[in-house]
Amino acid sequence: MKVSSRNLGFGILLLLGLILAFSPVDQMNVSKVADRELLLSQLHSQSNYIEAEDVAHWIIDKEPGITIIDIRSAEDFKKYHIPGAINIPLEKLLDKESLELMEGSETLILASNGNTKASQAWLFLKEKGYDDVYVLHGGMNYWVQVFSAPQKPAEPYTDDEIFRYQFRLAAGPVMMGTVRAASNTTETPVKPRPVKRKRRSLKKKVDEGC
Amino acid sequence: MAPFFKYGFFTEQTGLIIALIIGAGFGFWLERAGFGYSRKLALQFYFRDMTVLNVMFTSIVVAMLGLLFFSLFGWLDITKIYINPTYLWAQLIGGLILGVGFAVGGYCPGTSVVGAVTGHVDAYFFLGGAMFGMFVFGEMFPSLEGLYNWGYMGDVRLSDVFNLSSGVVAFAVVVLAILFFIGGQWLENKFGKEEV
Repeated sequence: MKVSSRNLGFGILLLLGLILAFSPVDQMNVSKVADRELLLSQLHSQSNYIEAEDVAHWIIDKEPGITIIDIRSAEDFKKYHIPGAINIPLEKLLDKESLELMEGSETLILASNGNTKASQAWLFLKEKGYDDVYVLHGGMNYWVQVFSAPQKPAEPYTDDEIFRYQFRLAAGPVMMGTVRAASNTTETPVKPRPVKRKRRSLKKKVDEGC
Repeated sequence: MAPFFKYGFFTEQTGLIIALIIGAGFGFWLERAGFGYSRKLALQFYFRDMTVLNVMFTSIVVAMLGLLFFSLFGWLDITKIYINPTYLWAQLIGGLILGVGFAVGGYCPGTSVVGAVTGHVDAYFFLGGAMFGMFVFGEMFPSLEGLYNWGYMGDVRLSDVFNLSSGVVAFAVVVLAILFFIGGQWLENKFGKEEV
């Protein structure tokens, strides 16, 4: 019997569909938790870092769905913290109320004094299944240094360097403002409202179809 | 490529280049399928040339099977794929408007760009009309907002709505596609296939 290519195509499609109907596709959908090799390679390639300038831009743009988590002690947090940051000391990171604070946020940014502790927290959260977690590169030390007294780049400088310097200079008062605010008011961490990010507005993605 | 992007296999810049290649390929194959030509596209609505239906359903089925099998093999995390949120009534009405525009103008937004690139004058007029329509929509948006959000269901898939496994839904879509292919050919024969 001769089978036309058309019927052969239909047959293959039906067969593939049948295989899918009886296979555990949905069980495979569970987001992969803790692919250790992947985590290691991200640590190694430093793709888990986010730069201070990027975070500053997000704060200024009031980008929704982002939570900055300060994992230093409560005293340090009181002295100074990034505007809008919430304080979850490292030892309380996996407490129930801490996890509740992180809920509803799409992107988490971890800030400690340097990189080390934030990276440890990053690993914990990644293992917990949080997907969009980043470490503030250089930590609070670098942040304060960059926004309180930005260094003018030495000549000869590139356009990029001078733009960055000007941004740091301009953003400084906003970023460092809580130093003064924190001295007379005691801020309590506020649970961030779960932001249902309207993705379409951000992605400017052309819908599928023709 | 989004699910691969998430794994950090390539950077944003590489992603943009890949997007450019995919986009150019998309345009090229639309042109090759004859979709840069409004007469061929419009014949779809008179059931005389079912190429549009065949191409669309083929791409839907191929992409669906590919995604589900990749996810079955563990090559791809399907939960990372962006799903267009469903606004049931808004999308039904929008689809009807698009269909009327398609039948009148002979292009849909993507193919009008393809037509314009290959130098069809009617495609330029269509594109101009589309731009004007976008402008009017943007200006009228406050009064249309209720309609725009009508029937919001979130990022749902058919398997969520019907509470079935994705595999069963995939099989149903394959059967549906094959029925449409056969039905399309029957209609073509009935109304007379026209070569353009």
